Amino acid sequence: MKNITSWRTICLAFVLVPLLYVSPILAQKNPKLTDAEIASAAVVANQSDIAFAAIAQQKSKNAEVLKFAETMARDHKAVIDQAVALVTKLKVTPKDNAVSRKLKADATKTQKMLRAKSARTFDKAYVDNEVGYHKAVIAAVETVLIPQSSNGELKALLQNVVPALKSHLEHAQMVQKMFASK
Amino acid sequence: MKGQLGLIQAVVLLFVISSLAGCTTPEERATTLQKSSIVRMHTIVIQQMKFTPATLTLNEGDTVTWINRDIVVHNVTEETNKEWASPNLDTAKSWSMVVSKSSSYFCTIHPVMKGTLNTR
Ligand SMILES: [Cu+2]
Repeated sequence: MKNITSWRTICLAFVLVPLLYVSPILAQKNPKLTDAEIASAAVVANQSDIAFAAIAQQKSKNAEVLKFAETMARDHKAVIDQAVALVTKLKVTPKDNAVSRKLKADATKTQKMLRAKSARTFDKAYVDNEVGYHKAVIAAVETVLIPQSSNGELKALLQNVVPALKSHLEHAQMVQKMFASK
Repeated sequence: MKGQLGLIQAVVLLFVISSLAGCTTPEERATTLQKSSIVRMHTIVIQQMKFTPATLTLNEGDTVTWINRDIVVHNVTEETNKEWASPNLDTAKSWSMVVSKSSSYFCTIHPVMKGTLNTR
């Protein structure tokens, strides 16, 4: 009896600890979200990356960084448009929640950090942040938003977004390597 | 009156000919196409940030159509010298090209997306 309990604890630890470790977004003790809250978190996550791209478009002179930022602005806007179209169709109003608030607060901090960078240090800071940000968002979408979605169409949309996020991560890592070799 | 009859006959004849022409199986038609070396058509689907198939072997002069079934905009651009390129393709848009030689291509919006055309 006692054995089973401790075994359960170990199993739970194995599942939860990596989750918490992977992403600060998930440090909210894995809250149970409604579809309205998931939609809000998804929109905020996309808006944040558009905001980072806008700063890059103002501050960077590097052609590869500017191209990457343009792709981020374009793709994340496309995802928001589809999320908005879906919630409109489903008559769901995105609802503010712990995850979306955490995302917003983190994004505000990141924007402040990026704005404060000198022209010389900006590009690397932006691209490093994009690598970390996409890793965190992929983890959040795969381990929280997709499993917790009730509506099939919302789940499908989120599943469709994952390959785009993964290609953004690879693209960011490609640009990151360019800086490492300089 | 006589002219009208002629018209009806012509329409009937056209109908008979066209239904006869439709009397071949898809396999028969494909063989006919290959024998008469009429241009062959290929489709590459862009979905989930991938070209499928990523590698396509085809004959010189064949036509390839890329169709974007993804949620974001993509393009196809020759990789070495940008010798050819599609415009940006929105969701559900497609673009076709006659292939004259083997080439590697990619999407300039998502440079990690790559594909290859091999001519026989
Ligand atoms: Cu693309």
